[in-house]
Formats: sequence, C-alpha cells, structure tokens
Amino acid sequence: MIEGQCGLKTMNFLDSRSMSLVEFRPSGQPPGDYRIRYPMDMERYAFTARDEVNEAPQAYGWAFPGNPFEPPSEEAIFAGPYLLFSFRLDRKSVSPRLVKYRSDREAQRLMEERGVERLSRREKREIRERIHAFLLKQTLPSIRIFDVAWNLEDGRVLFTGTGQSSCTLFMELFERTFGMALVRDTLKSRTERALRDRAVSRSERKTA
Amino acid sequence: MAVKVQNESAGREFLLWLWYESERNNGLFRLPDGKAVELWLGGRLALESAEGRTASDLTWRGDASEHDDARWALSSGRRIRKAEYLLHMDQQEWRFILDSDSLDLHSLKIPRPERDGEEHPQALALERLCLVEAVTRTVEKLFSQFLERRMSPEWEKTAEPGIRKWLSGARP
Repeated sequence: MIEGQCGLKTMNFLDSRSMSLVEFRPSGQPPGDYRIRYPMDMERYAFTARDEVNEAPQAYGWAFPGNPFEPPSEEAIFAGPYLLFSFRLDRKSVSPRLVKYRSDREAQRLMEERGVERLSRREKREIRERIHAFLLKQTLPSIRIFDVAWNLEDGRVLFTGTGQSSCTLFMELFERTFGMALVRDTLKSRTERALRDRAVSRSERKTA
Repeated sequence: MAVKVQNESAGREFLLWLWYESERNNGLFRLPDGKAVELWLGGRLALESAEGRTASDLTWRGDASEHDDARWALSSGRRIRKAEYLLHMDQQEWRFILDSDSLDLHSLKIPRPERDGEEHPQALALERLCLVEAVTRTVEKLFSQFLERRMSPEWEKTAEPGIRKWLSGARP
C-alpha cells in the first residue's frame, strides 16, 4: 500500500508484488460491441474532480490503473483478453468524540446566549448534524484504489479489495455500469463448479 | 457410493489435505492435465476450534511443517482456517495464504515478471495477470482433485486413516 499526503492508499496488483484477491463471475455475457460500449459506460461512472470535492462521507467511481485521477480511455483498458480498470473509493469520517465535544460546547454557548437551562432534543440533534457536516467538510478523504481485471473470455473478474463494504460497493457499481450482476466466488460456488466440471468431463470421456 | 461433501468443512479439509499430501509426496502434486507442481506449507498457519472461530484461535509463524504441536492441535479437533503455501511451477515460485472459508488468495506474491522496469505498461500488466491466473487456476485444479478423492469410497478406507495417523505423529 502507498500512503499519500491526503491519505491515498493504493492496492495496485499491477505494480505490487503482493496482493489479495477476490474472484467474481458476471451473470451475463459482454455484448458484441463491448470494445466501443464499455469505455463509454465506464466514462459515465468514472470518478471525477467533482467527486473529489464532494462533501458526502463517501464517493466512488472507476479510474484508470496507474493513474487514479484520470478517467479510462479505450486503448489503455484493453490488454489481451482483459479489461483493466480501477475502483476508487474515497471515504471521510469524523471522530464521534470530537463531534460530541464540539456539539456540547456549542449547546452550552447557545444556552448561555438565550439564558436557558436546557435545549430541546430537536435543537441538540440539529447542533450535532451541523457540527458533523462542518467537520466532514474540513476533513480530507482517505483514498483507496482497487484494481480490477475482467477476463472477457472466461468471465472471471479479479478484484484486489477483500473488505465486505468495498466489495459491496464495487458489485453495485459494476452492475450499474455493465448491466449485469456480479456473483462473488464462494466456497460453495467453487465446489458446485468443480463438481459440475467433473461431471461434464466424465460424460465427455464416456462419449469419446 | 459418492460421499456427501459438506460445504462448510470442505475448505478446511482441503487445506489439511494439501499439507498432508505435500508431506506424503515430498511436495509433488500431479494435476489432472499431467503437469507436475510442487506445493509446500509456508510459514503461517491459523487454526480454529472445531466449533468455528473462537478467542482461542492458534497461529503459528515460522516453519510450520516442523511444528508437531500444530499437528497435535489438529488431531485434537482443531481445523485449519488459513494457511500459507509455496507453489513451485515452471521454475517459478508463488507464495500465498489460502482462506478456508472462500479459497480467496491473500498476500499473494507472484514471481518477478520477465518484463520489468520501463516496459509498455499493458504488456507488463498482461504478464502479471498471466502469473496471477496461473496460481488461481492451479488452486482450482488442486481443489477439484481434492473433491474427486474426497467423494470417492477410497477416502474413508485409506486417505482419512492416513491423515489421522499422520496427525498423531507418524510420518505419512
């Protein structure tokens, strides 16, 4: 992993000697014109400069491997049978303790200003939300880049993120972009596939 | 008669089978296509209790194959949750940790590609991906081989007793 000035962390299996992998299988086949369609589809969901200044707690989108700040181009993302790209996930978080501390201080100030002894629950909640939004805006995101290699011939999709939330967001964006769901390879699916392949090769040996 | 393979235990049994077969055959595995590869247990091994993950998970670092206490723990009911393996194939070496829950590869270290340094990035990417796919496909083939053996009647007659005996300290 590489840590940058704003908390940039990359898990680039195209550069790193060490990586962790999760495998997926898409639920459909690429269309015949995928070399034209897919770059355009990915451009639509690419991570952009607008996402960088987004005030939301998280932002994600596609990026070009090796240069996470540029959208993908057609000639760069196809290599042999593979479609290569990255998934960028920016996350901001604010310490709950800091929010509470600042909110309590603000509540105290407001009570003194109004000459009251307590605030309503709604007022306290509004203070917390305002403080949280303010602190979130000031926080730099933690940036994570996960690499994706989709073998368009055998359908296998390799993803360098192993965490549950990054996989979930990746799967959701993949389906939105390419119009087909991703199924994570589990022990159960691997077992079923191995047994199915075994049955097929036995049947082929019998008929040969 | 085909033996039912419980999905939950298949991963754990597979990891144990890999270690056992590796010691039994001096690391040699012959894949279904006839290709010979060498597989050895690496330096990291994580066990869990028979009921699943508990606070008393045991982890070894170092030369696990020399750890008789790891085998003793397995013989007393613990199961392998994760294990590191070294794969030698085509005069190259891969190192990876296999997760028994999913068979995902963690901390995978691939051989240094022939293309390196200032090559065209796509050619380098392709070579690296071929190295990655080589190990993922090999693990698939080994898993398929394990399932074949596990589901055969011979498993209960020879393989299972052999593994039990090996865990109790005898050489396989």
